[in-house]
Amino acid sequence: MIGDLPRVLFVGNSHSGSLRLAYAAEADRWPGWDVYFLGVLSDRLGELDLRDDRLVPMTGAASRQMQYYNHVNSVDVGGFDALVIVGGVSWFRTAAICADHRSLDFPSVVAGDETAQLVGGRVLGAMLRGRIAGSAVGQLLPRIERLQKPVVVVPEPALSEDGRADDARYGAYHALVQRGDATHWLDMYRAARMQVLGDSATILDWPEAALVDGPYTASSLMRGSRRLGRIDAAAIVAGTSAARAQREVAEDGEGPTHPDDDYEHANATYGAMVMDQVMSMLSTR
Amino acid sequence: MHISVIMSHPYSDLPSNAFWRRAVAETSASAPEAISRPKFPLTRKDRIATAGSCFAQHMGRALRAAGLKVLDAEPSPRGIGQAVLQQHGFGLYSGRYGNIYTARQLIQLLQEVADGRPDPAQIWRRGDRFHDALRPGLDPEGLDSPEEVLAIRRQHLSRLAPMLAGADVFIFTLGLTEAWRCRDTGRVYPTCPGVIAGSFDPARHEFVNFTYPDVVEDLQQLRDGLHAFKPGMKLLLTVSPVPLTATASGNHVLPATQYSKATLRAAAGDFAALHDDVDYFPSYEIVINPAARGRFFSDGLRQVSPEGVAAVMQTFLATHGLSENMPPLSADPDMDDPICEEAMLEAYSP
Repeated sequence: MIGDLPRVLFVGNSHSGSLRLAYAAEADRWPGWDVYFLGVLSDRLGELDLRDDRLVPMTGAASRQMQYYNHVNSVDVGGFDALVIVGGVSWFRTAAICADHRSLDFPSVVAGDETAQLVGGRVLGAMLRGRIAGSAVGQLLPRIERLQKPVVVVPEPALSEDGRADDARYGAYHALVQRGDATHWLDMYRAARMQVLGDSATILDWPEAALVDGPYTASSLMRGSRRLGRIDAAAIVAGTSAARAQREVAEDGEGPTHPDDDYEHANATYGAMVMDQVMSMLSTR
Repeated sequence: MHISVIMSHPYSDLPSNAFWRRAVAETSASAPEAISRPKFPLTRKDRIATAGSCFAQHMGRALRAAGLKVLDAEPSPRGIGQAVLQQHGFGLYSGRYGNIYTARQLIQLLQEVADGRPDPAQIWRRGDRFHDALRPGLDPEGLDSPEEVLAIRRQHLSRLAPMLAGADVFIFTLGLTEAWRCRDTGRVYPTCPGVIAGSFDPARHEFVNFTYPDVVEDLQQLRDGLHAFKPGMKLLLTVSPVPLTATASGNHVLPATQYSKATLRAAAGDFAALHDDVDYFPSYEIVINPAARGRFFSDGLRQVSPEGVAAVMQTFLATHGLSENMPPLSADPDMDDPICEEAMLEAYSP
């Protein structure tokens, strides 16, 4: 611990933006920790490595994003007391795995659906584990495990309920829900996630209050989401107050809002709910 | 006075590939010339089904890479790592039937597909898990119940039927003459009971080493069986160069391997010679070619090296005029080893 408060670093992809906005808006809501953010986009999260207690980019793309979004080439993470990984394991995309391949215990198969290719449940479990192990979190987590600091993994929000009309992009997910298989598949997903990540991190689920009609996020928590913006992470290096740094981000303007047909990113209200989850969990450690 | 007489005899006008020195000793083992003259060319329009012993997995992979239509009755989900897929039998052949080492095994599969009914007796147990005895390595962790084994197999059979009915060419790689079979039903297994799952019972299981007449008769039944699904379907035979991991014949494994390969090679060649719609491609010969000086085998002298696989596949594709306009297959050292139940016998080596 440096200074009065323990320090936590949120390392995330675009989904960390909602948490960052929430924190910038009301940092005093989480007074027990000094909070910092480091953001890169998409799978670049899995292209970060730990070298001599510094989080460094492994690829040119990750390096460029570290600089563009955070104004740093690397970050000394040795002084943090906990890390939180935000995003990087996309649950809803796993729906494609069981779109045409299911085991006998899927509710749709029990109900008589014979369209899917029957496979053993453990095959599907192996596929899920492989997908999670190959995800950005699955790659990053083993690398930062060497820090021996508490790590929390936060999932991307579940798809917005507004996205239910978009079959072109999310047809497999909607079909999963409509078949009645979502809960079963989610149980399998959680088990696989625990097997792959559970020994190295505490894994949070979506805030219960955020969900509607099964695994969709209430539209009120998704509309108005904003793209990841450029953060003055020099504050991290200089030791500036995290809250002030985050306020500066907000004043600079986090990225522009996502288009109306973005159903994957959440807004600051959702971000605050997740911050509550994370900080509550950290406070119990 | 010296009189020179030019004799005429059957060897006087033969092409260079008929002579060992030119065709073997002085020719690169990686690019044997005119080693095969196809009876029927494969084209990119042909719908191809593949099956066979583990070496046959290379064949399907190479054909796909060459842009040929290799049928797949049970495709995998997209976006899953190759290792997981292959461990579970996806993408190895034209269905998830696993390795088929003998013609007899393939005939029995075709009969089962035609019947549409799996045999409930062919379920092996390991601990509290259950395996399909006819493809025991397919689900390494086994299945939950006998009912699940049968349900999955029943659907497997139903998916193979239309695939077979749609195939123009069936490529089958013969692997072994040695097998284990059920005394009651005569059904042969891809691996000895008890190795992967199940338990060996000498009262129920017996060893069989198929002879030349057995294999020729089986090939005839195989051709008939394929034509029952699709009249006129062509059959392309090869023999796997991969030696036996172990023999149960009581002999040394080297002569046992040579017996097995010689029997399969002779039977395949003779059978192909009898039928216009059956051809033979010399995968076996290309790999064991002395000109390769052993480098077509990997360190254990059993698995074919990436260079050996590339030699076979490049020759095969070139023979069929399919190597044009495509990058040459590389001898990829990271090439996945084929999934091979038979290799599990190595664990029992003293």
